[in-house]
Amino acid sequence: MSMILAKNATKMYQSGTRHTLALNEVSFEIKDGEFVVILGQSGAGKSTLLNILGGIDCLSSGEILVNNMPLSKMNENELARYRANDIGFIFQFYNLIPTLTVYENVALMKDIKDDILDPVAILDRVGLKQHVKKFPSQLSGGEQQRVSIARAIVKNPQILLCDEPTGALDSETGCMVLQLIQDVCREYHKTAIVVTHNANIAKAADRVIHMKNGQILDVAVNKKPMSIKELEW
Amino acid sequence: MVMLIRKMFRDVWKNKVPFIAIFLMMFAGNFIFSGITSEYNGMNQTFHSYIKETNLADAWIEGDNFQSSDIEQLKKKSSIEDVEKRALYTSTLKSDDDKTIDLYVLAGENNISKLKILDGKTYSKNTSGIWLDATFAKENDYEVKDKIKLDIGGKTVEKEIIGLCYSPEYIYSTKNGEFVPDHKNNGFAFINETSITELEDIQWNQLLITGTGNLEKTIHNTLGKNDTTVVLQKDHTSYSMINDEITQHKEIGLIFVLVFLFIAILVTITTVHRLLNSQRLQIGILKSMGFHKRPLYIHYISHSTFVCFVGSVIGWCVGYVTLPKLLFPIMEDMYILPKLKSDMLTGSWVLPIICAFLCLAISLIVCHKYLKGNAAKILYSNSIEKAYKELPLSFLWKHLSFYGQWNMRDIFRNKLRSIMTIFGVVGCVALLVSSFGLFASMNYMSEWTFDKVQTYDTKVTGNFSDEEFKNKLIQSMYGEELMEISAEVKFDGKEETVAFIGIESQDFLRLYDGEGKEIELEEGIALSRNTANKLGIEVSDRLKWKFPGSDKWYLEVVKYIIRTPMTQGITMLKSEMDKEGIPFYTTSIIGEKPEKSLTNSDYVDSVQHKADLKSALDTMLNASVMLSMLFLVCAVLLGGVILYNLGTLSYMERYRDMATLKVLGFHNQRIRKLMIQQNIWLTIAGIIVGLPTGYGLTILMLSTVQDSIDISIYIPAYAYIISIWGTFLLSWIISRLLSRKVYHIDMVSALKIDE
Repeated sequence: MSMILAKNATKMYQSGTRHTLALNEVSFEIKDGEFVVILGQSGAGKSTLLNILGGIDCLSSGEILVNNMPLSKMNENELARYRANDIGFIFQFYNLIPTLTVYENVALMKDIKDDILDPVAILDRVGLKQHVKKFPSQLSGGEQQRVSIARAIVKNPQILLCDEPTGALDSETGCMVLQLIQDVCREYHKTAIVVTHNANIAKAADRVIHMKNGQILDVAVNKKPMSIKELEW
Repeated sequence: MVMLIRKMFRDVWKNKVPFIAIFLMMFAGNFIFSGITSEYNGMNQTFHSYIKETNLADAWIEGDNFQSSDIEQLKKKSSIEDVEKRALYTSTLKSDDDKTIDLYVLAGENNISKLKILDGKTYSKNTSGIWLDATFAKENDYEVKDKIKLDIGGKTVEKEIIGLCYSPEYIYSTKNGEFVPDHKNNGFAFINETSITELEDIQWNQLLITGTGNLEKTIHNTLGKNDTTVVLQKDHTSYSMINDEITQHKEIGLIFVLVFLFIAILVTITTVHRLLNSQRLQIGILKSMGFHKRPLYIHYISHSTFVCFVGSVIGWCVGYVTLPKLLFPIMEDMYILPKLKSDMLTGSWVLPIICAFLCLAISLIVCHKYLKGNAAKILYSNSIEKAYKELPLSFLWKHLSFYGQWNMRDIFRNKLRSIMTIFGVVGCVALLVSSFGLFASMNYMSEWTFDKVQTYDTKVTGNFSDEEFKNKLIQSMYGEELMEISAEVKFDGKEETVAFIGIESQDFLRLYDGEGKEIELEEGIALSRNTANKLGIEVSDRLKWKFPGSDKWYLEVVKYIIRTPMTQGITMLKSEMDKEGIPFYTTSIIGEKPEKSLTNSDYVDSVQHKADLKSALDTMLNASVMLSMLFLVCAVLLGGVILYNLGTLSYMERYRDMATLKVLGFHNQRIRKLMIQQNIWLTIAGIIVGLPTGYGLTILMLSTVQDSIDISIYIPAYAYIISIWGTFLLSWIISRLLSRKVYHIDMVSALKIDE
């Protein structure tokens, strides 16, 4: 069953008289529960695609259906509800609220969704139970990214969108974080989409979408994805 | 360097809101400083050159009838330069006995307290005719060559007006019980001895002295009489009122300047912090490219210093040109001086330079924090994440919602920004409370005076030597006698001339203590608070005084210190005076409105009705309305600029957090509430501090009022309520305006912000 279906998705940015085609008639399909890697160099259009999937940017033409719902038909409130209910974001720079504790950063999601998972259990799952009262600035980068993962998971969304989640981390920590994302996706049966320029990660994905210059070069399906631990970093 | 200058202009433009705040605060501070300084200095210069030009007497001696021998004796003293004698008669216009003219008969030339002739002939001892008060003439349509008919103690004198003039002794003049000069009903005139043959046996009751040193002592030693009263220049109302006024303006100007400069400094600190924090990457890049610290320091210091200097210079110039023009018409209503011109205080032009240097020094300190590291440290240190620890007194906040805790922590995390916001609100509330407080206190003074203290409807002043007439008038007015006279008081080596009021009962003139409680004076004297403070007298002290023209000193116990709005001095009951052998001279009858036939009598000098006095006070209140309006404008300006500037700063600093919340699915309304909540909290904190500050500011402002007036601080509940709601409304409107920015948060940037 298709979780995400993109049909000729196009995004054009305009700056003065200059037009930049960030996505050029992109079409692809992502199935429910897949661990997907979108791969490409800078300027390939992968972050643009992620932003559109996350409902924080919109298409110029074409269509993207999430659970058969067309994103382009949603108004601002519907998009906010979509982000609150269906999407879990994991940012490259964690984007935690510095004045809320680890627990509060996660439990904050109660305010936008009624049926969230137990924040303490999730924090325990990501290995941060002993840090719940700490503030983000008292944690390492890896720990902060784990809080960010917990915050995304706690809403129990259908899709996890991860924008270069290991980009600001050293390789060891990055590996641990990625493993965690892969594990929680499998455990909680989530569709995870990871944007990265690190080709090695692709080997761990169920599906790899390779992008260049706003277009999809190819979509590969791994019959036997590797475990993150087995990857050469 | 040219490129950096261009960058500076672009940076200022990009960050225009905080820089506009710096500009406005510096503008306001310098505007008020140069405006008020040039106004009071202009007044001071005009006043001093006027009294120099007219050779205002250094002392006046009042007595019964001075002889030529007195003058000769005085002239022999080395400290006395010149002496002139004259006679003062109180007269009324024959056509309208409500209009009073102080008629001076000069024995010779007019070299002391010279008249300033505006139209007609210069004064000469041989020229026949009368010189009339130009302001009175204007109000009553008299011109040179007109005839004026005066009633001088029953004698009618008709003279041709040969000159219209100002007198330095009438810069400020009010009759008993008046609050503001009434030039329509009161004036003066001068005539030489040879022109007034109608008066026989002129009583030379005044001597004018110019000289140096302790004139009072010299006069007393020379004349050896105790039945004279000496008034020194510093105590003459024409001199003291305008001097007090100038001091008052000086103090008000200074308070305003300090408030605005203080806020400007705080705004500068946060703006420079914010600018440098947002440009850490650029600073690192410039440093790594090989820029030395020096040009970078100059570059980043120049932003705020440039804006501050421009704001200060423009504010200074605009203030100098406009503010005196607004204030002079009010002053010209109160004081009769030659045309007032604004005059800048020497060296005051340095204020914009001082402001710029102050700004430069502050910017330098802030810049040092950001520029001291090496390029790598600046480039790779995390500029956005501030280390954060738990709130102080965390048990107090733990029951707050997430949003509450978030806002509370953000307030503590950004202490400088929060404190500045609170300062802004404190300033706004304090100015609002002061604005309403001043206005209410001034209005209350009218109510206090006419409804509580002076309960009579009419006051008839005149000569009451005819007992029959006096009793008729008292009967007609259902009134009582009043004695109003000046008295020389001595206490603990200090001497003052104060008012003495003798009253028959407390029915028409009531006495109130410091708490506003009515008191019953039975024995001893009651002393006004201003006089008591001036002389350092407390209840139970014994005060010594004497009346002018008498050499007998009296000693009485001060039983009460009273608050009385206008007449500052001693109050005593007639019965107590009789008991102590103190003579009671009836100067007025107070009570209800008398029959017209009685007031037309030659014995009556003036009739004052409560309504006229109230309306005169309202004229005086116009100045306070102007001051209140100025406070109101400043409050809104200060509150608006600070709240908007710091709200923007808060928004910028929390932009990433708010963008993240949006990405996570929070609705705009929820994020707006978060922003508004913080502003409301800071507003509440500011209001709590601002209310007592406003009370203090009102006391400070009222303390600058002349000693001759005692204004009770009166801030009614509505003043507090309006100030609180006004500030809330301002804060809420600004918060709503600012929070609309939430709709324009670019969520994509939340993902990219650290790249």
